[in-house]
Amino acid sequence: MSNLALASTLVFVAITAFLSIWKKLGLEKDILIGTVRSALQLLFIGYVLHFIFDTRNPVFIVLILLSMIGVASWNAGSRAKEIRGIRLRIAITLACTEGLTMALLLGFSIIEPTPQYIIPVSGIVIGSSMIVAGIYLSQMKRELESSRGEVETLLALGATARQAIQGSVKRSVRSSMIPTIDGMKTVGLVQLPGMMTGMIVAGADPIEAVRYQMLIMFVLASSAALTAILLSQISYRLWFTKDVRLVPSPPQETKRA
Amino acid sequence: MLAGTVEQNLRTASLLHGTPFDEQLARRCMAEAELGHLDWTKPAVELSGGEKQRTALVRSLLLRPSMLLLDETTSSLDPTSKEAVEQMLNRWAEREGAAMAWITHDMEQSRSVSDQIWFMGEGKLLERGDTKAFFQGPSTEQARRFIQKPLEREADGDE
Repeated sequence: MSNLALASTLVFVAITAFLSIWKKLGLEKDILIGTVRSALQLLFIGYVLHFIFDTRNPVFIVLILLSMIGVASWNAGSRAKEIRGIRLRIAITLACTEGLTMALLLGFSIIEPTPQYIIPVSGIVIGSSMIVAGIYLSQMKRELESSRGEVETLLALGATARQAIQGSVKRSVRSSMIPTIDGMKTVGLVQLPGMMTGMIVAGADPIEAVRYQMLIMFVLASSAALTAILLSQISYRLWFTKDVRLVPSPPQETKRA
Repeated sequence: MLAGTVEQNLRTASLLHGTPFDEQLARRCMAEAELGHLDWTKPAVELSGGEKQRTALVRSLLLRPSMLLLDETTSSLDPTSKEAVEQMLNRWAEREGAAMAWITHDMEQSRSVSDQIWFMGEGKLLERGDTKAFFQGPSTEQARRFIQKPLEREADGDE
């Protein structure tokens, strides 16, 4: 893409800003911040990738994967800030999901062990796992408001923490996986995925692009399942106090009740 | 009530602890709580308030606890069911050798179900002692007033 063409893309920002001003949505500032941030972040990662592809040093690949996991855990963890230690659990989960997925992809020689493959695919895996983790956590928070009675009744009947919270965990795992699975059902009919679109625009054969997209869809399904189940298993105890009482709801909820 | 049928609710304790479900015992307790007519395949959420309260009580009993803490356990029951529950619990305590601590505002109930009274008021334990002795001559003014109120009401009713 020429520099002139790139600069012309700002016309879309102008449309957004114009609509916001005209309809008094008050989003101009956010639009400006969003535009500047996405441009800077993408340019930054572009140069970083350029550098890594050139050096081919595995240390840089690991570093970039770790920082992806770090940012993703921080972001998903803000859904349940009040649960102490949740960000660490998310980071462990994302690292395991990413590690296992990559091991399989490389082990079966599905993708080549080069940064050109590893980094973008990891980005997709970690990014989608972050969304799954986020949905799981917000669903658990809702569950523990609506199903508080159920959990406490079970505890009163002598259930362990795991037994008492099992129902809520199962429902939350399901809800966190549904978007990914629904995405599999409609992909290609409703939306053309970004990666595939990108490959086609960049000149790849659509059939080749589709083959990679199939790989991505299946990888996403398994990483959604891995993330949701792993996170639920290593984090369920965090919803209880040391002496196995449910942690109280955050203050704003208690006030409302 | 937990999700599921009456039966699933009653089976909860044995399910959680991996012990066999004593259906005979459950049926007997349900009958004693005047719930013998209840269809066990009915969803528990469809029970009435009093039915829920009694089913939950039976569900707890099936844990066979050696100590029962009964907090206003007959509060939403009609007089007949209330009496049935009191009798059921007393029989249960005798049979199982379980201790019961009743928390109640109901003076008649405390007189009929207990051996010992702990009278609480103003956030303090004001009296503790034998039930008979307590009702014959409470040592604090608060307890005296509390005992007299229902008696006065009865007297008013008679006039």
